[in-house]
Amino acid sequence: MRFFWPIALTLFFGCTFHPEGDYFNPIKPPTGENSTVEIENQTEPITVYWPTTFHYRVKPEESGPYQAEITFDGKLLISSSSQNGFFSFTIIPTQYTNGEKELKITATHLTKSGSLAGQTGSEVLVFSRVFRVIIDNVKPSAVKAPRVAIEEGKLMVRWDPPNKTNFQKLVVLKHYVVDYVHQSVDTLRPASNNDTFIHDQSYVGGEVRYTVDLKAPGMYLVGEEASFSCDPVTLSFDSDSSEIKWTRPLIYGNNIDLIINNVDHISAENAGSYRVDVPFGSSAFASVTINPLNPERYNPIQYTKRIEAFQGKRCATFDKVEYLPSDNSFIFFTSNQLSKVEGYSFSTIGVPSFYASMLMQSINGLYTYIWNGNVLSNGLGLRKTNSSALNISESYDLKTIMGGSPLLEGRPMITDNNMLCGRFSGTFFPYYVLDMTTQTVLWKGQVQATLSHNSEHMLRSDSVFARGNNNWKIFEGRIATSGLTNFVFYENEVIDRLYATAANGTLEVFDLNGPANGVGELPKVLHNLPAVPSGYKVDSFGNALYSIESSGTVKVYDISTFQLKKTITSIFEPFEVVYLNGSLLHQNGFVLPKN
Amino acid sequence: MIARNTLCFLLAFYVSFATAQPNIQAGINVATFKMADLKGLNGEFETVFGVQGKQVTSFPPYFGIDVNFGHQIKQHHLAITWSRNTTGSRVAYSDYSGSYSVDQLLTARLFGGSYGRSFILEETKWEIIPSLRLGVINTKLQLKSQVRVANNLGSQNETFVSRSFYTSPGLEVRRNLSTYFFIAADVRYLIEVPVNLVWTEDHDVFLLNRQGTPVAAQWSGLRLIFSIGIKLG
Repeated sequence: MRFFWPIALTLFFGCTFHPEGDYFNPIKPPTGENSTVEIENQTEPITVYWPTTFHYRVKPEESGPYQAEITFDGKLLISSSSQNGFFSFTIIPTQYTNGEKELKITATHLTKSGSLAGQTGSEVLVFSRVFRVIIDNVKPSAVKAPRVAIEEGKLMVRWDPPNKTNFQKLVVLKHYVVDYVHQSVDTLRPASNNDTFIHDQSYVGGEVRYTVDLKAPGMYLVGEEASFSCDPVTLSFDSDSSEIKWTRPLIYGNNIDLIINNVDHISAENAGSYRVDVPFGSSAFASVTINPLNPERYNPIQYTKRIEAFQGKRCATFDKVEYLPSDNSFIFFTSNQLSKVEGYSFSTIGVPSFYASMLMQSINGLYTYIWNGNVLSNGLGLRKTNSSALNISESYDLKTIMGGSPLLEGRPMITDNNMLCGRFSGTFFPYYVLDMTTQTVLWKGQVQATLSHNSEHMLRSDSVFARGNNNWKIFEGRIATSGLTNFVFYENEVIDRLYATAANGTLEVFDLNGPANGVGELPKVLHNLPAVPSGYKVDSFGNALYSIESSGTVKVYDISTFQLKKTITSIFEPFEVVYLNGSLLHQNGFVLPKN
Repeated sequence: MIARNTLCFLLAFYVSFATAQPNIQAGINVATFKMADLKGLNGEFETVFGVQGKQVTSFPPYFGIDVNFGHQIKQHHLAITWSRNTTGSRVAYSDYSGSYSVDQLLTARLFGGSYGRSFILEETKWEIIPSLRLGVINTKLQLKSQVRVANNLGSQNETFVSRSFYTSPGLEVRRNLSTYFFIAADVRYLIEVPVNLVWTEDHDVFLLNRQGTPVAAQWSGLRLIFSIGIKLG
């Protein structure tokens, strides 16, 4: 019995199964041969010029989480983790001295090897890589002034490359003045920092300055300045065709077009022309604008040239003009010059050395006298010109001729050889007839009347006409009528007529020849004619009466019936030469073409 | 409760067969096991950590203990039977980085009754006894896993149980050594009706395979029993 329990227990435990055995997989630990760390877009040695953020990736992929530790120049820079293996860090070069430094990246990732630890995510691989980094805190030098020139129609800006490449962006700044006052700056961006030229396609002309600037974080280096200017287009005006014309723009190769009169866009590659319609007697400015097609700014900078457009021929703006019926020409006086316009020909007669306050034409049409209107201040203030010979033939000293200081006022009258002049204000009116050939006084008389207005008067060889108190009075014993407000005088071998507007607006025509030296009114030849606008003139042949309105419209009346014959609205409509509206000529200096 | 029922049964047995000859028979058996479900689990344990493990042992035939308390009435043999069998498996893996193992240790305690009829060979001491056993199997599965990676060690130990019914036809050859002692060899085949294993912590929790199907221990298999006996009467 004493052996029972030992045997029983032995049997019991001996008959209890215990699993045993093992299986060993002779797999090798990972070597890390596929583990890499690469800094994006960098090759060694890495040069750091400005605060730079580097991005790097730890491989192999899909082995996260990853951890990385960066030491730079022997000091811990950053330690971080990532699920996808992407990391970044920033180096601020100003925190280090110049020179080569060591950048060490120690990375850790799961092996995901075939081992039990690898498969259960318990096995990591640690490896390091060292990079060489050069810290360069020395800035480049400013870029020298660029060279600016037009090359094959293109405005090219060229510069020398910077002496160092430690900048992030090279830009060309274009400075110019807008609206004559404001400085504006556009930025031109070369495609590459290595470029040494750029085509400024939006340059349209005018003054401009360029600098080549270098940019980097914490740095902006302004380059030296270069100026350039050009007037890229030349305008002209052809008054015959009424067209403005322009040359091919110097910068035809730029990305520009032309805007004509602010409306029409046309190509800038060629010269061109554009018709401008303006009424005669007026002018308008036509413009050619060089317009950038792809400007750097929302409001593009344009270059505009203007030219005055007009119709007809133009002479210098003048102050005084006289029509010479003898040869259908005009004599006019500018500020210091006497000229003649005959047809489209402009000729200079001479420089009288004084200001001509009056131009007086001799009745025979051969001569024009220039008078400064003041015999007291200048004894040689009267000159005679020969409009055929185009010269100033003689000068007169009225002071000497008239003996002392004559009292002259108003407009003298010149016959073929004589000059009739006098004074017509106050109560004493001296009246002279001078022989201009012998330069002697032929007759000296006196008229008396009470005149309140001395600016409108006429002289005849035997009479003086002046307006006073709204009455036309004829001295030397004759009077026309009262209530006349406007008159025009004409005489030749055939007819001598005074045309005047009555108070009721009707036109009155008087015969200047009768009664001779009599007392009483001038005889009316025609009376109570239809009203004619003021400012009328009689043509040189005495067969028509013209009224030129301020608008430039010319109305032609029959000299016999005084009925309106035609209305001329275009300068090209043929008509006889008329005595033009003085104010129109005075202002703009236009001359009508002669049919 | 079970013990009281068992005592009542034994008392009735002895009263009923007071004139019979009792005997006690004890021995060692060698058993084979089907264990198809649990072998399937091992296939899953082979890849549970991402590496390919191996079944280093898989429910091999193993020794068990077999005890009978019987009565012989003329040629009839009635007995109460009890036996215990264990088996198990191991899935293991190791490499330079660590190791893991998953052990299944199964214990079956069979309890039941047996009826047989003795055929005595003339003029010899040999008996041939065909018999049939019926009973229940109390199964206990200890599932142990252990993982070691570097210096980190982890383990898990869970226990599952089940109770199933079995029947076991067999043929025993007995040699009477003397009036009181005999030896016997018994060959049987155990047929079990498998029942799903449940977790000891919560009997509503089953042990499932990867397909979500509950698994059971399957003890069916051949039994070869060697025993000695003592006739008490």
